[in-house]
Amino acid sequence: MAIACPVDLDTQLLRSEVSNIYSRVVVEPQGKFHFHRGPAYAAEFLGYDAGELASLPAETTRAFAGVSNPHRIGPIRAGETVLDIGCGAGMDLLLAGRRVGPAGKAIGVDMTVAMIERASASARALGLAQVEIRRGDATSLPLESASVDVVISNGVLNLVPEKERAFAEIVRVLKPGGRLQLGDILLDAELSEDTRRNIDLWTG
Amino acid sequence: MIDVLNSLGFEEVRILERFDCFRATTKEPTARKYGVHGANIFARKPHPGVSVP
Repeated sequence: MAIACPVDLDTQLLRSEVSNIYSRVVVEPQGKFHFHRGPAYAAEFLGYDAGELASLPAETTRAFAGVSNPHRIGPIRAGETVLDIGCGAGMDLLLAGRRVGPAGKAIGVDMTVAMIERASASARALGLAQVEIRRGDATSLPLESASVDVVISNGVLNLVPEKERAFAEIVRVLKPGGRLQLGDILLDAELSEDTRRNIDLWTG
Repeated sequence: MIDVLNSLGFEEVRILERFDCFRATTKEPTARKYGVHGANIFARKPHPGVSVP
């Protein structure tokens, strides 16, 4: 995957575009987007357990827009601390919250207020006191160093222009021996400079 | 991304699964052109004693 961000890419504009698009997903999940959403997609394309998704609030699962399935990578154990970077409406976060149980902690970080409100409401509806959502950015995570057992993320880091900073933050917050269970976009082809300047392709 | 994880000192870096997440979307032609797909990736932060930049 091409990881370098063009030096003249307007990263603030990119962040704004990403935030706008995913805020619209929360408000209007059935709207017209260039990516799949919802629980049927998650089960059919990504291998999530349809029954497990049906037990989550529909407002959260309808707004799911991930690209893979971090929960298939490895187990999340009771008592662990999990961080979901770019937790969105909270589908992966709520699943993690159930797996860690009351002795653990599932912390979601997102930069989109609408997503944070949706995820928080769903955690409350499920009575998952171990789930907490914080506003923040992948390049400056609002967590202490070496405090997390498992970092998960789903379709988010490809949208972050400063990827090296984001991965350095993951290194910082993970405990020694901690796991990164990452779902994201990969490319088989190297992108041209012009293509990497195209914000529409970044957000797509 | 795999190269970045390796350069940061992560261990056990591997792609475990791939997903055709843009199938039947308006971006499918672009995804096919560039080989864009979803992937499950695992990596582990080293224990103390192993240098992480």
